[in-house]
Amino acid sequence: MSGMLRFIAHCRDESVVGMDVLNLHSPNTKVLLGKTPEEARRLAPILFGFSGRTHEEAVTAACLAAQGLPPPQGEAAIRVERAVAAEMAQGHLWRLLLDWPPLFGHAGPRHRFSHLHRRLSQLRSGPEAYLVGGELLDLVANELLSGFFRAMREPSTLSEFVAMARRGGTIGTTLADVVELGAFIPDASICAPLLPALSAAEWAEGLGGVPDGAFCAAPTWDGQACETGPLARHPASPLVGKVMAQGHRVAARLFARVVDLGDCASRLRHPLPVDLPPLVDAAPLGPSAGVARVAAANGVVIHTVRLEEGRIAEYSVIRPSAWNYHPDGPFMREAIGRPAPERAFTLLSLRALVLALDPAEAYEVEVEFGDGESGQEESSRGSAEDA
Amino acid sequence: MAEDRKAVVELDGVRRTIALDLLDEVSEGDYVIVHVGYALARLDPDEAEATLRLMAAGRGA
Repeated sequence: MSGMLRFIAHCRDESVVGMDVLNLHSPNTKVLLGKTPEEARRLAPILFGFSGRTHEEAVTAACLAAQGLPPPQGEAAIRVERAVAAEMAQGHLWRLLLDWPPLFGHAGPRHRFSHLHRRLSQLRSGPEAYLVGGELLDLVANELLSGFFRAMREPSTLSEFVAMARRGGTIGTTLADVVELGAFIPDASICAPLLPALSAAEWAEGLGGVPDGAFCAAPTWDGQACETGPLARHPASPLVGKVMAQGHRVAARLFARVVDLGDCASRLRHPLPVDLPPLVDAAPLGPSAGVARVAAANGVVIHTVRLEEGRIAEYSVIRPSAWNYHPDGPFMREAIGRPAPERAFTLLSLRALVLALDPAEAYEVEVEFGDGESGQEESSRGSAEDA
Repeated sequence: MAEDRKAVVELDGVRRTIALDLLDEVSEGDYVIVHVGYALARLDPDEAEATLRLMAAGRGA
């Protein structure tokens, strides 16, 4: 597929020495120009496809802020939070049940995924969301990481962590596989900083206006390319921190994703917790302009809009993949210098890194060796597209 | 619940087979949102056609 996201690694002397990222798409927001906020809201789910409801809420929140109108309150705010939490959970389930297990030769529980995805799509009430949230928490404890829930204490070493992970659960086994693949982070200083948790008001201050296309394609915060996603949301989680401290950043991201799924489940049961920021937040961005910050499974989504006479005059979206696959971002920093002793290992190692940073679209990874050996393999998501 | 259901979708003359596992009700001729091989949601046909026209115009701009 010519438009598919492509990662091409150039290898020499048993190491990745260069990396091309091709076809990293930005959404075509030009179609929103001239539209009213209501027209833009209706277009969002189709325009953005996956996470369509999340983008719909982002469009709505940014436009309300641009109009100087208050965000939804009370029960309406709870419905928004539940809808975004449900879509985040769907994104996490896609990665955890469909994409990660096959990478290491394990069967992904496809029917379990379909069942949960449909239930999350069909949520109509608080009590339903409460029940599905409980089902997701049971999934984490009983099917994904059961090894950790059968122990009375946390693992104190990496080998204990691996043993505990292997003791049960689809993702536990995959997590152990990822750790055993290797750490590949010689020095934490090579890693991109984690994007801090910022409110919409802080984004408004930092952006200063609707950003241009070049910034949206390669965004920075405080002058730095940062990482967004589950790891950036849960760096303080003790087990995530322990794995990260050992240089196993891919495994830390996978573990953080499960933690984030548990967080989504809790929000479905108890939306808008007082001790955590809401999933959707918006603020004014100057005259007739607004910014919305929305959480998605693969990271923070930023929508900015400027209105003229009630219609959209400027619109921009910063997607999580623009951070994570930035030329100086986490993918590039951790891909370059990776061991590349031979084709199969290099492909697996790079596919795990790509998946950990979650491009949220079909992709393929290729490796090219300086000595003429080359290999190409589609990701599990690419395989799913051909199903 | 029907599982492993498949369908052929077409966009801009390109056809591909997708899974229908995530949708309950879908029929021949429906417009759907597709994501990496799965139909995610069924669309109102008028809304879908209007959006496709807009997107085609945006590509031509």
